[in-house]
Amino acid sequence: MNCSPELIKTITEIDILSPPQKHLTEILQAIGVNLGYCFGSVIEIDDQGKGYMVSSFNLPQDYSEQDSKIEAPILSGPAGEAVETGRILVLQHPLSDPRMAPWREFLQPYNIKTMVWVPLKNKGQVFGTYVLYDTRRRDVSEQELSMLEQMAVVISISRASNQYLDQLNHKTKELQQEITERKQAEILLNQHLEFIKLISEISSDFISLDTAKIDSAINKALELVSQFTRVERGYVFLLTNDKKRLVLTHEWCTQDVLAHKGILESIHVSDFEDFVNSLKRGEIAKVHSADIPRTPENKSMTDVLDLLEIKSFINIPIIVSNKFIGYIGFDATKKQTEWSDEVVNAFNLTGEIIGNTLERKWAEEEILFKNTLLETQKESSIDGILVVDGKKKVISYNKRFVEMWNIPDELLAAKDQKKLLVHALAQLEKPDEFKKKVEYLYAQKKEKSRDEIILKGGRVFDRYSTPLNSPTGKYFGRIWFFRDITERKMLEEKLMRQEKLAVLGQLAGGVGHELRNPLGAIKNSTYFLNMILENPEPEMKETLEILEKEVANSEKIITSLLDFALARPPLERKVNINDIIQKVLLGSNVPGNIQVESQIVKAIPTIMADPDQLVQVFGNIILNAIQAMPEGGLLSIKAKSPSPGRIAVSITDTGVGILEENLEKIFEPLFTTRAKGIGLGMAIAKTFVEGHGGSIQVQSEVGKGTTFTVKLPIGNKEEKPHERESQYFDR
Amino acid sequence: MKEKASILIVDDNMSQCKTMSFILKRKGYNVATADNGPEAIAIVKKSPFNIIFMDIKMPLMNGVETYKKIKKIRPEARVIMMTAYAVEDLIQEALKEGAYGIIYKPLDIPKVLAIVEKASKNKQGALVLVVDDEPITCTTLKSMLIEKDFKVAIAYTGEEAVATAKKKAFDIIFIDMKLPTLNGLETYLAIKKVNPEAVAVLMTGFRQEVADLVKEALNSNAYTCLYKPLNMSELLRLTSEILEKKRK
Repeated sequence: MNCSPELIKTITEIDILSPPQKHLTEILQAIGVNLGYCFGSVIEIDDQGKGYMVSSFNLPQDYSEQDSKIEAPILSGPAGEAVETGRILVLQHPLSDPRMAPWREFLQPYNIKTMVWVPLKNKGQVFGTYVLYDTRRRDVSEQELSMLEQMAVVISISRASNQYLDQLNHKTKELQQEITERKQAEILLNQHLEFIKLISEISSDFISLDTAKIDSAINKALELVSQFTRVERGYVFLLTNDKKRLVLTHEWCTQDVLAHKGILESIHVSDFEDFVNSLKRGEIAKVHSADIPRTPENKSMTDVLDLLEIKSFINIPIIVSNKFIGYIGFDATKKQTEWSDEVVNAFNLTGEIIGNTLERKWAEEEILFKNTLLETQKESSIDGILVVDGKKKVISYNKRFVEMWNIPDELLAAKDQKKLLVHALAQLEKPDEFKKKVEYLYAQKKEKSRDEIILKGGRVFDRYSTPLNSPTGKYFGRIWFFRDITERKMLEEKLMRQEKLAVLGQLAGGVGHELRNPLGAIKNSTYFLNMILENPEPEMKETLEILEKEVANSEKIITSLLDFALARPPLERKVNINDIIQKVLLGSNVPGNIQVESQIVKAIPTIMADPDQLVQVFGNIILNAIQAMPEGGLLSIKAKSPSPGRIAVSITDTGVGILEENLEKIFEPLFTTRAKGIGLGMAIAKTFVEGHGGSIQVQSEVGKGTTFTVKLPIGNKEEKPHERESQYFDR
Repeated sequence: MKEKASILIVDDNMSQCKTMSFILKRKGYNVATADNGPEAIAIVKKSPFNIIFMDIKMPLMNGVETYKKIKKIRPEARVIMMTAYAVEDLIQEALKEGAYGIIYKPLDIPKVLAIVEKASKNKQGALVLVVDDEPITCTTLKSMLIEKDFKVAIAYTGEEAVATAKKKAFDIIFIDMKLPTLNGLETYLAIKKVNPEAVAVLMTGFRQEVADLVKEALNSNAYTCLYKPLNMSELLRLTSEILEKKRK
């Protein structure tokens, strides 16, 4: 039984070295065309026992589509029968055959009259079937059947080679895959090494970095990491002190993309609470812009993402000492990107390094700030400050300290506490006391202390000292503060004096007035007795004289008390100082053993003053001078005009002099060194002179004498020399 | 010989009262005493007195109040206030009311006797000119000075004052520094020419404003300057000081 020579010829012309799928189709086609079928297909059974079409010829275009819509499995029809029996199945009028019911409708248009299923076998097992379709009713001859069976062998072989090739292809692919993966691993390894190099480079950069350069170094690190991971943008946002905002602090981007700067520089925490909270929890945010729903509430965010052309971004929290301080972020703008663990790790490490570096920077800034603050406080203090360490070495001092103690440069350079102390002690009134105190305090590591120290020459320092103890009690040394309170002391003393004066004034006024009544009665009585006793016996007479004299004395005391207590403003009049001095000298009863020398410049200007008050002023001074010279001496009075608009009258005695410590007090009320007098004379003189806008000064040397100088303003604009103009009351 | 004056001494301090009355009695005056205001008023109602010494600070009724009442009963009596205290306001009030004078304790008896003499003589007083454009100052000063036996003329302008000074030789002239047309200084200088013996006392309520004028006037030998509001006892002290100096 021979095959059709045409068929053999056609088949032999097929290129069997072409891809199996191709020569399978060509073989099927050769069979179909040679035997006069309109179209055909090859069906195979897969591992699950389901049939599927692997090849076809001339099938109408929509055939496969239609076929796939039919729910019935291929093998449920005659194809299954052919496979099961392993014999060729020929079906006449398939459209009317119940086995073809599922396919009837779709085969209808093609008017198929005959269908033939030929099983395909391998090692005696059916593994599929090929199907031929004819629009004519044909009777399949035994010869044709035999030929179809022979062709089944050809198709099987073609199909097998096809499968072998598929397997081969699959193996090749697997092999290729393996090769690629190995290569990629190698690349990754390389990348990893490079990355480690990069990170160590960045971190070593930071370690040795001057804080001032940290910002530019962070930007550089962002650049390196971004380039390494092939992203277009890297940036850092940090939490503000009030924790209300996250602010863009560092950024790097490629030249062809926009920067955050100018577009998104700050984020309000309250606007993105969920985002910020997840960062705070240490979670990494990986977002693809395409995944964000384009809803109105997301619009502002998606607008920014679009503007920055962000396809994917990753934000990694920066957490330093368990505190969230901000985040580091990277943007991919070219394509949506899945971040590999390796890349995330790179980002994370960079964030950590930046966080630690920033922490260091802040700490250094804090220290710098504290140092600046301390230094400024120290230098702007009105106190002189000295700091001495636990080994008594001078570690710090300020300019004021140097000024206050007049410390020479070489002493400063020595930084030796002992030498400084010696220098200071030499300036003190009571060096031993201070030395003891200092030594005591250095021995006490807990004691604070304060007192006042008096320098030679009268300056007073408020001295305060406190140990330098850390909160844990470690002793670092001792700090000394010195404040010059000389002026304050003087003011205090002056105030006290004024207060004393005011009290005294009130008292004097009250007592003075109260005494005037009884004194008046005594005076009247004395007068009366004097008047009625025509020839009193001598003792009676003397008693009356004593009464009179002492009443007069009392009156004087009361008058001076009242003058002092209720000093009235001067009633100014044109006054010649010479006249005043002469009048005073006349009324002073200068003892014979005192020589008076009066040098008054002829051209001394007349002044505007209260003559009554001036008489009292000079009277009191001259009385003082006379009392200072019980053994006699020289009283010299000089008057001149030392500067325009002023006259100066000096009264000098050669008496006992006044102790230096009493010089200041001489003008204080109730101060007296004599048994006689209540100590108001000089106080009144001072009050009256100051009432005239003048001043009174005293110079004295014990054993040599005293000079009082009264300076008075002339009180008129034209300073004419005194003219001896005839004045009615001078006559 | 003319009959000696009758004197009333009013003082709550009995020692003062008694000793003073002893002296004055010995000097030949008729003396009565009272130790409080109401008593004094009762005595004055019964009989007249030429001179009354009145302590200012007294219980029940102070000296000034007592004086005001007595003035209504016996306007012709000369009342001299006495005080041991700095009761400036009361002193001022008394002087403005027309009290004859003020003396301070302890009393200077010769001075008291002189005052008594003076007050009882009703002698020809000194001539005083008051120059002020403020009528109130003029009349207050005038009535007060008249009480002290001064003869007082008033001028409201500088020109008027100069014209008045030409007619009579005044002893003391009080000149306000602020006057219309001629000011105080100009007035003083003009008067000085026609009335060289007159002593000028300046007055002003504007210490700062007229300071230069005052200085110049003082330089030209005006006596002194009093500042308003005027302290009447100061003014009286000055007038007697000036008159005493002139007498010498």
